[in-house]
Amino acid sequence: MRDVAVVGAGMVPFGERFDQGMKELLPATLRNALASVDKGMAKPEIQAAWFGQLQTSDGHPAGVLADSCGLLDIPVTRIENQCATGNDAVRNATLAIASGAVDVALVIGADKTRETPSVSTFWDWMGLARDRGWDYPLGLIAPANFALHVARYMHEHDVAPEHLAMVAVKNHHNAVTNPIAHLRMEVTVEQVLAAPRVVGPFGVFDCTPQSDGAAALLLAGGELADRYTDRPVWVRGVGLGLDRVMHAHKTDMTSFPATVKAARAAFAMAGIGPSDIDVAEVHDCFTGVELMNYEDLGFCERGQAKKLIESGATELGGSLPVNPSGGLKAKGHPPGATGVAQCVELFEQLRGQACNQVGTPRWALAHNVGGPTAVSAVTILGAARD
Amino acid sequence: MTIGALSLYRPVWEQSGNRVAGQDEDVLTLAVAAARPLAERHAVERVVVVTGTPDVVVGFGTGVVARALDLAEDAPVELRLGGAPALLDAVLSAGPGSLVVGVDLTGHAAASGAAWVTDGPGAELTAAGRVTGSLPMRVRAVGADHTTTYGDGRVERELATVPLVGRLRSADAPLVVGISPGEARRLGARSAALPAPGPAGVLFALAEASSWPGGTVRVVALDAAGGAAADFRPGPVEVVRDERPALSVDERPAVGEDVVIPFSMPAYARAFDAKIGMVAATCSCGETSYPPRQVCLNCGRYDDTRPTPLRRTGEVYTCVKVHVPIPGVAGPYGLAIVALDDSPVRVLAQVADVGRRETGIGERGRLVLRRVAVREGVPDYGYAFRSEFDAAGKGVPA
Repeated sequence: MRDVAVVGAGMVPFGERFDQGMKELLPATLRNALASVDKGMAKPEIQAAWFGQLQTSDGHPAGVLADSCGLLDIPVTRIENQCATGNDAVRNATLAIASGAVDVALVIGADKTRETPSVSTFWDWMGLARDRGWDYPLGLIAPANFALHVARYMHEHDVAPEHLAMVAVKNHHNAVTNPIAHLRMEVTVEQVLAAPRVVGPFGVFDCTPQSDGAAALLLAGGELADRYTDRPVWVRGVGLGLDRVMHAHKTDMTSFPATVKAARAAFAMAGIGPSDIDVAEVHDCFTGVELMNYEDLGFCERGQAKKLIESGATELGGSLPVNPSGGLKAKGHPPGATGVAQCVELFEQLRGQACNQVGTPRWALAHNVGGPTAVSAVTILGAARD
Repeated sequence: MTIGALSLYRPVWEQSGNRVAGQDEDVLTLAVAAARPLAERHAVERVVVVTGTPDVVVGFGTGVVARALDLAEDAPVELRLGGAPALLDAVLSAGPGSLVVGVDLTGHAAASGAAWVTDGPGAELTAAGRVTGSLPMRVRAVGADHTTTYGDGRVERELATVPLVGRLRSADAPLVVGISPGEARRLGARSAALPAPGPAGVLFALAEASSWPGGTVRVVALDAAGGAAADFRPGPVEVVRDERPALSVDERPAVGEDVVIPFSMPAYARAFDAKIGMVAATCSCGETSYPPRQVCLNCGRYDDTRPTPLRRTGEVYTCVKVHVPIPGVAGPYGLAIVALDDSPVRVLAQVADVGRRETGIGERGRLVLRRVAVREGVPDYGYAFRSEFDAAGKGVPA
């Protein structure tokens, strides 16, 4: 397949953006992405766009992107794959360029999570992910969706609430120095443990905020990269994995099989393994999920995630920094944008220009898992073309 | 008429010394709670549910009752309106194979009972008088939240209770349902602790009488100006009780902010038989799926399955308590994934009757029919997990 380069990346701050609708967020994000291209890129050079958006907030997503950004003469495809939407949009654009069908593509992800009143928000989001006849009326809200896994995981591997809190402390710390992060505040283990309970092992500080936001990447065929930059980043692997949709059907809830499958596919495509990864942005919608991800992505053995977080290896300055941006936990989580924003962070890390730069990484991994924990997408970016 | 078995159910929630219904209970679930233990043990050909306090009249879930009790396709389920006398009438006119269910459900008392009528051994119940009068001391119009009561209890005593008991009693002290224990004493009647004054109260009274030494007991059921009497001759009656240690109503989950929860009638209809009947599909290769699925994930066969009833007992694989208030859902509530006995099937269910205690992984219990939600005004039934541990963490029969 043809090599695929990331030649530009941009986003807008995550947070409560009540003043910005899709029609404002998207053009601002595209402008920032275009402005990041070292040698410049004009909008008409974009030949196709993939738009990741989970919840439709301003009407027909593809049309809104084309119309609001002035991209009316190119094909625009909306990708919806639950919380894996962002990295799945990256995957689709990557495959289009790799095939030779497209030379320059825009990947943009955006979501507005606060467009309906909070009284109905849980039901709005459950409606996207639950069977209307079976699980929906039971009140299987998103935090419970993950907490059922984490409760069993903690039970089998003797994981303490403190281990979950350590994830929150780390990711909040990283977000303090990230200017686009939603929650730029330190928390302590004691604060996390004492916070009001939400579901099962999760308190308020174990949970992602509801964020609005958008992020974009500009991808180009390998032979065109130097037209745009002397420091491209390379999409070396993409993978998508699925699992059963009903929780009652998941045989081993201490793992997310979707993540295992997505990672396997991405690593195989990149020709590397988990130990080669220098920095990762993983799906920490809830603290305990980050621990499970360490194991599903192969960063440690089964049951060893608590040792990994205890060791400090995943902190800034550790051997494998995870979520240097602050992660979903503190940077924020507008689902359609999340995966794309992870790649924006890793693009900057691999070019040595991130706000929380972690040395000179060569390999970086982005990961989402979502919906009824039934889908995962993994993207592996490399500093080198081969 | 011969009663072969009796089943009695009281909700776990206690308020001012009485048991009251959970937020997930209604006339239908109370009826099933009492009827199910008998339907599991005996052949049931028809069900009559008697209540003086119907909460759903148009669209009452007779089909839900039928599936929850695993009745045959052609077994009728009837909802009959009436108080304590109507329950006696229903039993006295029932044929063998009938299950007569009585439900009392008000804001201050809830209970249910069921009687299985048989042509085999049991206790004999014989009609012994009926009076139909009019003294509307208590009136509740359809749709009204409260009952209007005529504010002079002596009127009821003098114009209804005393003359009715006088006409319906025999020489021996009768067992009277529908009056207070104090009133019963004043009238020279036998006293029994009954949880409710209506149809369910009659069944609790029969269960009480079945354990009394001696011969026939005259049972008198009153409802203002109406009354029915029957002679109960104790015999071999199996009595099943589901009365858990009480839990304060202060711990009962409650709906905070209300919201209209979207509802899909086609999705309800598609799920119905498998969901309410707890029926899985077993492929010809042996793989069992629940909810039933078209394509077998083991062998790939398309739609080559037979229905398989599931056990209603099992063990918690994982569980969490939802503390954050969810509009439209009574909380805090627990969610559990329960591995069913003798089956590869697991089900997701809310946790019932648990109060503040947290359910734990590995706990055993039973899946019981509850009203899991009311969506766009439609009661939606399903199964909730009831642990075999009570609120204090002590073991009780599942």
